Amino acid sequence: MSSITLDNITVDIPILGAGTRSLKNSLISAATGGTLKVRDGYKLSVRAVDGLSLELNHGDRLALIGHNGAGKSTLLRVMAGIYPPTEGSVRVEGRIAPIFDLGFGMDPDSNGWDNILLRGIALGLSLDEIRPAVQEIAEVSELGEFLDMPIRTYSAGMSARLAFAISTSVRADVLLIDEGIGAGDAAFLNKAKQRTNKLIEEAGLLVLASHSDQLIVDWCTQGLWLEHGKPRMIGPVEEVLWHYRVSVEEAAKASA
Amino acid sequence: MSSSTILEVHSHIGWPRMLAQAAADIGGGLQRWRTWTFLSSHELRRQYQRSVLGPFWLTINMGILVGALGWFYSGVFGQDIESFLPHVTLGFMVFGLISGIINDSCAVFSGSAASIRQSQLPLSFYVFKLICRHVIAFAHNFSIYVVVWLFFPIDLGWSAFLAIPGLALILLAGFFAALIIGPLSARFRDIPPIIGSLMQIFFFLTPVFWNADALSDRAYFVNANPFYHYLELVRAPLMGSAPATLSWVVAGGLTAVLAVAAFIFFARYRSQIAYWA
Repeated sequence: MSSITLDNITVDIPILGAGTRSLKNSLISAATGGTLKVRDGYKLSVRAVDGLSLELNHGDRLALIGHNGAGKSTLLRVMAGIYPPTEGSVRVEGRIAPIFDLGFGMDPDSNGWDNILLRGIALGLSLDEIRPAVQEIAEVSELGEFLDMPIRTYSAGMSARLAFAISTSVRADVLLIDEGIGAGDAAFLNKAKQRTNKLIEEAGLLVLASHSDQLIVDWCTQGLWLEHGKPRMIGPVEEVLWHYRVSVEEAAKASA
Repeated sequence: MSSSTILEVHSHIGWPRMLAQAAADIGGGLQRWRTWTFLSSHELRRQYQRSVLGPFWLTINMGILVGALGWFYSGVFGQDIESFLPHVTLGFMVFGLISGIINDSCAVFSGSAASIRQSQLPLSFYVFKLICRHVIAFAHNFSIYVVVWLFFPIDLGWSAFLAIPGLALILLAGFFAALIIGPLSARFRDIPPIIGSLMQIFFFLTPVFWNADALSDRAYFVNANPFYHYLELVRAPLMGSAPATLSWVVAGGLTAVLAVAAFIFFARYRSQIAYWA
């Protein structure tokens, strides 16, 4: 069984920009008894998620909806255990697969076969898990002999296909997906759709952050609308999406 | 499918939990040894991709350096080249390993920021990968020593095998040092240049390409330098003599202290690394 329980989560992301990251300022602020601290605002941070509680169970398919910077990606990273929250606690049951950036981990100078391994490692698989799946991934990618070539020689569509084939080969109980996964050319899309559907059906739990209404409605049953890191609305996905769209349009009208 | 996997993260946890999680992180990193050996050798190969000799360029670079400096400085210091060249060769090899690990540990987390924010690999994984990459490079460089050993009279006995525990101590100390330097460098971006210049100074202060015997009245100066002891643990056995007891004591003691300090430090700040990197 898979489940996600978030209990009153707050995430402050420290901004270690100019002035705050340097050792000199920390030493000076320590030596001057914190006067600089006040002026610099030593602990500058952005509150990305603000007091969020959430309970997801086996079978739930949740879409995270909201503007850029609403905290969708941060929340996914909290669920993956990558960002430990500043306040609150997280409990996730089941094997987690975070799929954030489809092509992450791939190396342009290595050939397709090596990249299957590299991308698989970035997805958190062990070599023992990837190696048996290599042949199947190669077939899905339909790249044939191109797999022997370094992927810098691929067209954008070809590398997207390979990345897609690898990323959708993971089997997990809890699937965390950021942004759209539906890349590739028309001929590939049908196959892609079947494959993503299978991936999602097999996972016990899905959390998707996306700006694509189509993807959200196709894949998810519930929606969580985030605004400035706070939950604005949670409920059936169509309803939440509708309210979100209305508010976006109203905001556009108001500013016009 | 291991559906019993449970992730639990709490914002405010006590020391016992922090230490347990740090231990789990290091254990999880160790468990993935096949992955980091694959990745580190892949990284090295990629660096020399499409070159005919591949990573052996590392060896050739060092071979030329050691040959030229050995020949030149044996004249400057008025030393016998037959013992001086092996001394310099091992000095460069071993000090190169130590300083390479320390310098690279500055970027062990900040250089992998994207990966840390994308995948759930234990943080110690990146440190293991770093150490492994240097071990592979060292193994390539070791062939220089073999060549030197073939052409110069080095009288090796069973004590040569003492170089193995010596090397292990260097790698252990490097691992723990990186657990401290890595997060610190990610948080404070002034640390890498400071460490870079310190290592440069220590390169000259440590008897890498000069002989410690040359400073009979300043032995304390060499003995107070921890890098000297680590260097000697590997160099002395491969030169045909056993390392001094003092070197074992200093290097062993320092590694133990480093291990405890690094473990506590890593446990305390591990949760911040994803934010700092």
